[in-house]
Amino acid sequence: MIVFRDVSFTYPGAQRPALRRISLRFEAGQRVAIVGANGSGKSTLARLANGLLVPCEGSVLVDGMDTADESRTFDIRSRVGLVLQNPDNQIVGTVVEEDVAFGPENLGVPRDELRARVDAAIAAVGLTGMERKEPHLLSEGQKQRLAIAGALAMDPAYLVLDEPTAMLDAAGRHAILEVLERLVTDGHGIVHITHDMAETIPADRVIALDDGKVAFDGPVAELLSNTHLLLRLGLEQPPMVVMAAVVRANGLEVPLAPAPEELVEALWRS
Amino acid sequence: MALVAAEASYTYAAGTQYASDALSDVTLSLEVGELVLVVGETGSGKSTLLRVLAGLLDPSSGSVTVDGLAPGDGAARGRTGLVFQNPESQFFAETVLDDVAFGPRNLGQSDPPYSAQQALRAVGLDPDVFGARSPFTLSGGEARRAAIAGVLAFEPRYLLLDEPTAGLDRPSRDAVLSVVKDARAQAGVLVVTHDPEQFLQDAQAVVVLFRGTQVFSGAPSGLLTDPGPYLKAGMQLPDVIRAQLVARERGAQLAGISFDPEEAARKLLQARRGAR
Ligand SMILES: Nc1ncnc2c1ncn2[C@@H]1O[C@H](COP(=O)(O)OP(=O)(O)OP(=O)(O)O)[C@@H](O)[C@H]1O
Ligand SMILES: Nc1ncnc2c1ncn2[C@@H]1O[C@H](COP(=O)(O)OP(=O)(O)O)[C@@H](O)[C@H]1O
Ligand SMILES: [Mg+2]
Ligand SMILES: [Mg+2]
Repeated sequence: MIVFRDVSFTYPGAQRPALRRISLRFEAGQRVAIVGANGSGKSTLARLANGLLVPCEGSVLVDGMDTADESRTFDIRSRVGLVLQNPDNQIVGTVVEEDVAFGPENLGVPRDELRARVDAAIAAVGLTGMERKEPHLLSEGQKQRLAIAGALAMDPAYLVLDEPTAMLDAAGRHAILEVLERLVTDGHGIVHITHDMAETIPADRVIALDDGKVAFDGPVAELLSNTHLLLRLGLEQPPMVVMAAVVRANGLEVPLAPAPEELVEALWRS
Repeated sequence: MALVAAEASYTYAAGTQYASDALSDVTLSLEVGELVLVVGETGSGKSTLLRVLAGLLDPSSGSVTVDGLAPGDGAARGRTGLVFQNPESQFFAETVLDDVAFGPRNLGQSDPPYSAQQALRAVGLDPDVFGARSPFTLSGGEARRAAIAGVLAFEPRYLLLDEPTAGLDRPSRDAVLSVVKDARAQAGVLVVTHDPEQFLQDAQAVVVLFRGTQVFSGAPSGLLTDPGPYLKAGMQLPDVIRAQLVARERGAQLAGISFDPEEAARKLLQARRGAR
């Protein structure tokens, strides 16, 4: 479990805190979506979760280890994988497969297992065939996939992803969402930061940040149907939720977020 | 007058064993007042096309001209403004305000069309809050908007925006959409995006790239009547559009396709009533 206990954080020299008195829990086997306006503190929360930043007040505990305790940094980083919003800040290897191998190698994963892990991670994000390419020669979407592969290869208990699909096409987005689904089923804890409200739908729980504070923490359906709160938070309903709401207001039964085919089926069946 | 690519191709690392054809024979023109969308899967060559149009890369074959001039021509300087997909790669000044003011200053515009403050406000960034900050400490969405402001500030005639709404919250996205709208009074705007639905209503043309080649180029309506090339290029239609096309397949009479979900749903309900 990752526990945020009354955490506040202010960047050095900043006028105002990025996070104020946040208390949260992230559990293994749970998929949590984090949403919020630009500057609301999402990336700051992500960096605090694996000890890249340490709280100014309060504490963050990863399976009982305090991120402020420097002697535990290695254990914490190997338990909590972090995919940064800007992949350039994370890519270190001179070619793709080396970059993916970097993390697990540091963890002391044996040679024969390393190869399998690297190949699996590269395949999971759809970069097979690009193993020998230099990362700086990749498109931004390819770099984003590479950053995700690097985190996957470390097989962390918890994976925190900061807008992992922002630069991806629809197929790439689906592929990543499927990877997340599989990880949760395998018992990993997932924290997924996103601006695409449709991506919150499969989450077990959604947290909305507003100006460094938790403005909502609960079931996805509850947030997505609260249009007033969404508006106040600078968020919006996903398009299919909007369509479904209009149809429902006309007395037809449709799920909260139907697939396009499902919506049409509901309309023409009844 | 226009920004024109004529059968432009680009090969990275040409002549080496790592040579890769990122762009093959792309032809397009962008005129003042127009909005052109460029879509395509990851790695299809969109960003390469923008770099070629902006004169950052010289086409390996074919040509790019800015109002008839070569992009490198001194007289063409400042006519094209490119906002990169990764905004952080664009910053260099110590403060946000200096960064945004650099363009006009560098071009010797003594009376820039927008002050840096105005440009920041246009993208929803309060200059009093963000002006004195280091651009490298901005959040993702703040950085993207600051990068857009930096290009707006010198008012290029051709505005090239790589994923301008990625990672933005709703109000910021609305700010960027209205910036694009306003800019078209004196500029042509070319937008690369994975979320075309927000721009389709206003776009004159859509270019679909697939592995560096142009597999579709024309009015958005053309893609909606026959989304074949779009799908073959590895793309998926936005859900709202897909719902309407699926309904049509089931015999729904829809006059035109809506990009707005609420309007689309009302149309579907109407078509359903009409059918009984
Ligand atoms: N290194 C830094 N120095 C000073 N302030 C910072 C720094 N990094 C972030 N901030 C500020 O802290 C606040 C929270 O930033 P954060 O990056 O966590 O936001 P975010 O929710 O991830 O936003 P976005 O959706 O735009 O990515 C913002 O006001 C931001 O400007
Ligand atoms: N600097 C570079 N050197 C070599 N290849 C590159 C470079 N930049 C991009 N590429 C390759 O060119 C192709 C097109 O990339 P890009 O234009 O960035 O795609 P898009 O913007 O459509 O995602 C991709 O296969 C990418 O890996
Ligand atoms: Mg962020
Ligand atoms: Mg690109």
